[in-house]
Amino acid sequence: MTKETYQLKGKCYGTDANPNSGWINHKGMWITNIIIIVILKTAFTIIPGISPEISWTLTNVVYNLGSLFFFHWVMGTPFELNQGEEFGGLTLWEQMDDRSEFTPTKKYLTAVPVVLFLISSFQTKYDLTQFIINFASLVIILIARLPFMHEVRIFGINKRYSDEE
Amino acid sequence: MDEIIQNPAKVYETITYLMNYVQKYTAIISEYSKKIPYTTSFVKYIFNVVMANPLRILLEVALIIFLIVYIRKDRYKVTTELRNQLTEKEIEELIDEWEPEELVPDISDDVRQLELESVPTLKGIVGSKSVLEDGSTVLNLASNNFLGISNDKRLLEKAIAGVNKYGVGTCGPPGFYGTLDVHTDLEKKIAKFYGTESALVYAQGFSTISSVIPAFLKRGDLLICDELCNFAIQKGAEISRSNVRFFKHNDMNDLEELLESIHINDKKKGTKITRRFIVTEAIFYNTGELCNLEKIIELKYKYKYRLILDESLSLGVLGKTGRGITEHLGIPVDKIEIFVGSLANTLGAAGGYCASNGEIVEHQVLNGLAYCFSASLPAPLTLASIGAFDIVDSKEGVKCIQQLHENNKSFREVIKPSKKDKYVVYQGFKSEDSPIIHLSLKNNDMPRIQQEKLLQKVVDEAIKEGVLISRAKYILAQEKNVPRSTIAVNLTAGLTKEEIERAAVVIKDSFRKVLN
Repeated sequence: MTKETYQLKGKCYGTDANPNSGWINHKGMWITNIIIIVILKTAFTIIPGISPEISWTLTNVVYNLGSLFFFHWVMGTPFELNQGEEFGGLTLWEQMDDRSEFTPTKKYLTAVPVVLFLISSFQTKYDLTQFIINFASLVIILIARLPFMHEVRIFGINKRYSDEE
Repeated sequence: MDEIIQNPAKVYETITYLMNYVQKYTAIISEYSKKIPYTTSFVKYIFNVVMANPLRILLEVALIIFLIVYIRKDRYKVTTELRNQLTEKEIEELIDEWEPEELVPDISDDVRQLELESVPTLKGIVGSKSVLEDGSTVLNLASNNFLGISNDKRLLEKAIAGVNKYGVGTCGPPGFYGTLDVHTDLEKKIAKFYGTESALVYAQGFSTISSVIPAFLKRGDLLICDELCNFAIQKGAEISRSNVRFFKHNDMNDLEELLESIHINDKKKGTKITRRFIVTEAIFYNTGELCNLEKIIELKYKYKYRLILDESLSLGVLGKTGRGITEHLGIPVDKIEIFVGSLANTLGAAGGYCASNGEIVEHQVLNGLAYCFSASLPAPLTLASIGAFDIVDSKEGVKCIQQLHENNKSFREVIKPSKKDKYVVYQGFKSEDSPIIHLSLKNNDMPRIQQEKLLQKVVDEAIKEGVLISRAKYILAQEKNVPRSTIAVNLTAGLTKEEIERAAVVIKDSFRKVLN
């Protein structure tokens, strides 16, 4: 794999030719991410019978599993946008930013669960069980986001395209 | 280093030196830290936290370090090839299915062959009298050269002077560097000629109307269009993506019904504010009749529409001084919102124009696609147009128009079919005023290709006798409503009354020869 470093450091809009993943770089998507977390937390706090500690753990786990599903599980092009079949075997994370690694958006989306984990483990007063649950969900999402997992399908998950026939 | 290891005393010395150094700086730091409040308690707190759960702290620090390392990495692109989703079998199937299109299309079918074989070749300048390839002179009734000024010597001289002064082309759209002083002169001339506030010159006659319509009508707007409008209008309506509704050709009752039904529908569903236009031609290219402008204007005021009028064929033809259909029917110019026309027909130059009020013209400077993106009209043609307008505007022009109307009258009298003749002259609303005459077969149950072949025989027969006429030609696959197959005779003031009458007799005889 040849490494090609880009001079562009800032966020660049419109460089992503794939409309299926292009929306992630739209204006306001970073804020939207945080808003989703806030909504999740609010929702879990409102539900009676859930202690503040558990609501933090739930927020963390649901956010991690949700982004695992949307970024690393769903494959191909769910919306037909006239871009052909070439992205059919790639998850959203792999299609993002014209298949580049270490882009600003990817860095941001990796940082968010880590920070969320630190906050929620502090808020749960380092209760061991909840700490382990939070940490496990964090590890799963982080591994899925690391560059070495690009187009790697472990345990036969989502292997439908790579090993056909 | 060797010295230090060999001499233990020196080792001890070095260590004490270092210890002193450390002690000294620890003292300084602790002294300063006392000055900052809470330092000691903070250190103690950190120490306690770390001691209480060193593993957890290690984990968290590791996470933060990981994050910092991750964020500091440089961007790179994954260069593995995108997977092809097709299996070998599918690829083979696709290859088998694919049939290459021929580089040279097959022209063996009847329609294309007829078109190719029936094109006459002219030698030299095209005028009212033209020379065919074989050297014989024919009366040209196939060009839209109504006033017979297309090869006027004064215009040629003006065009040559234009080439000498400005060169042959402008090489740029008007908005960038394609506007010359002659263009603004021509625009002022057109505005003055029409009596409108302002005018705009386009580089091509065809693209004028198909650019003006999409400049004002967008998706969701409403365009009411005559069924048999010319091809340029149809294309413009298509490009604009507006809702296009057609009314029966020149049928004012149908138009009124259509407008009334839209009005009732609007009342039911609540009125949406959209731009609404009616578009029609002054002289219909496809039938040669005039549009019923008085009634259209009455309806447009009643139902609140705007009107785009294509005067490509009527400019310089209708009206005493050639001002078009408004002068001919005695309608004030300001009742029509947009005039569009071509400089290529009567005036014998090239290009098109849009005459209207200042705002409408200004809008097209940035929204008229053909104005924005096409190179502007070449200067020699612009100068020829100005010259042609001068001629039309002068006494000579009035004379020419009179001559044209006389020719028209006498031609129509001679061509009138008797009972045994098997052809019809198209009759429509005031079509006797227009210099375009459409002749078609009486028996129109025949398939189109057969009709065309018969008409072509008539045309060939007429050319043999020295009268050049032509069938009306359409792009059948793309016309909305294909008009009847006809022979279109374009009269001209460049010929005398006698010549025109002779031409009419020749055409009549050719019809009799072929059909009887």
